[in-house]
Amino acid sequence: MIGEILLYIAIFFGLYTSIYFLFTLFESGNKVYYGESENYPVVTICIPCFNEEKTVQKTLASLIRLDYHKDNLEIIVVDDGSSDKTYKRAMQFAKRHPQHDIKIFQKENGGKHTALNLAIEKSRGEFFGALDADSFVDKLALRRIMKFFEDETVTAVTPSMKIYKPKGFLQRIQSIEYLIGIFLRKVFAELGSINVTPGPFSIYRKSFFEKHGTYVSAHNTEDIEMALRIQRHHGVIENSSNAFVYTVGPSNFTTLYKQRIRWYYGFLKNIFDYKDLFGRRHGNLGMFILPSSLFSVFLLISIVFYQLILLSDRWFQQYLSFRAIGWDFSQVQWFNFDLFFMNTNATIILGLFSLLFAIGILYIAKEISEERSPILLSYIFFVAGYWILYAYWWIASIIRVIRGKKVSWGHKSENE
Amino acid sequence: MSKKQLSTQRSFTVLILTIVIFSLGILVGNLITNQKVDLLVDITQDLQTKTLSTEVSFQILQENICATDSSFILTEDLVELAERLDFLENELGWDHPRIVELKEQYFIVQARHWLMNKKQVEQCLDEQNENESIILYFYSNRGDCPRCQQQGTVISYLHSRYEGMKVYSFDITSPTPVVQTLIEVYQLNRAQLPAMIINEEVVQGFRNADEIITIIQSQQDNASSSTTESFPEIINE
Repeated sequence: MIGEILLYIAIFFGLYTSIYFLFTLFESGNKVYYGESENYPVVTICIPCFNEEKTVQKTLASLIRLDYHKDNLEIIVVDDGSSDKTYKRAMQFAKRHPQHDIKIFQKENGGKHTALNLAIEKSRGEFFGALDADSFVDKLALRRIMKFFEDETVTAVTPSMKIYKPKGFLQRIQSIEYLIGIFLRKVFAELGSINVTPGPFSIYRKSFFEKHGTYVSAHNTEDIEMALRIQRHHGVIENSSNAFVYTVGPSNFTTLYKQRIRWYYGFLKNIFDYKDLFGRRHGNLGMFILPSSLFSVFLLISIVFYQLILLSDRWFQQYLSFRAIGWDFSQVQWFNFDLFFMNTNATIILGLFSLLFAIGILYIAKEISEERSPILLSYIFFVAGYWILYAYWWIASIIRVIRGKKVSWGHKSENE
Repeated sequence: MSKKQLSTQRSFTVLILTIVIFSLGILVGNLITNQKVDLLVDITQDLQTKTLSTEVSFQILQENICATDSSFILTEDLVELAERLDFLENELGWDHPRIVELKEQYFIVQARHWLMNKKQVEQCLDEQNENESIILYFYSNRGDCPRCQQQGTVISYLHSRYEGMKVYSFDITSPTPVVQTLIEVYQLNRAQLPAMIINEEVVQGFRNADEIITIIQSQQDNASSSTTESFPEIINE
């Protein structure tokens, strides 16, 4: 009975938020693209590196290919105490491309935020952003982002993250997740409620750091902390839907698990640190987006628990029944194709309605993200497996928060 | 208005839209389910008519009841109704008023069939029904019979595996006088579920397929040591 009530609440909540998001997007005039900036203010992009000898040159190459005035694009590589040849590889690249403003610094290992802070200190740009060594950017991304900074009130602009050439089950479900992320970030921007400025290629007005401080460790999720800090100071975070940044998604469960635990643990800890953001004072963010994020996690975990208990009980009963007939399956009818035996109760019909909304949102996300490759197979993987993984990661993260166990940073290339 | 500000108008409009869509989903779900219940009502009524017709046939053929075509017994129709009823009971819940009503009718139809079948088996034992066996199965869906689901699987399995096995199932919690009478007549203990009456022998508690077959075979051995043919006969072997 409780499980059924939870299911109805989840469906109602899912429908409400889906309609709210679609409504917001359509109310905004469905304006998704804002063109490219014709101004070229000085921008500093930092590549924080820890043992990135294999990827640092590719990341640098991606940055110098940006459609932007060379003189106004400052690239700073910070080698955060690597034990490999990261520094040497970066130097080699800089020497080969003397026409570009590439600076390289080396320091003792202190974590990503210390590398970023050193780059801010050494930077000459009016705007500052970072790019991780396993990510690369679309040629027009920076100009598209800079278009938003023509509005003086804008503090930060986030890009649209995509998974680069997804392969296998895990990367495919991540590609769908990232597509939905593109839709959500656009809607959150319309609601003035972006609560994460992704590490790769979110660009900030540097004056914000001068006024409100630079990066802090923030439970290894400095991108969440920075977004929440901007929100606390009533800054504006925009999203450039077609400023694409590609990242290589984790391809095995262990790496993906570590990444997600870090994200979700960081989200929970940062939300606790910024609990003052809840409430009317912060409008949509405090009254709708943050509370509904936490509520959706609660619903997801409760429903997954409930379904798992139901399923395990059903399977156990089935096991006992088969044992009682001596494992003779000759008379067992596995499927009944009679339409009468299709489950058509209200939760199933409402579930189908929700699925239609989800497909609608995915279609819009596909359009916004200019994704041309077929995504049906990835979507099937996503619907079939993602919710269980999602619940598992959240449960593991909540347990870590409760036990006060810190999440390690690990190898950097595994984390973004 | 700043886009950060919560829009009461938007929230309210979306709430109304959500309520409309949500109600529509519940309405469509209920409509389809009601259609299914209506279909079961039709099947039950059809069975009632057929049962009555069979009873009349029996009365007409009083003197030669064994000549009645056994297809009149309508076992397959009963099985179909039972399967559908069971499915809907799972979907709507055992306490759904229409399910309770349908089950009462179903139990009455079953009891009438059982009586006819029993009469035919008893009177025509030597002619065509030596392999017949009748099981009355009593269960409860109210959570007080943890092994009833398994027993149901065993009974269904035996019914489809062995020719000549007739099964009539009754919810022991049903207030239908027919069910209550059966409980009284066979002195069934409600605390020991599942319960079965296998060819007039009361068996309380769970029995697996082999145990039920052993009971039937021993009954047959006792009843007729001269009969060489063993019961039950396996179908499709």
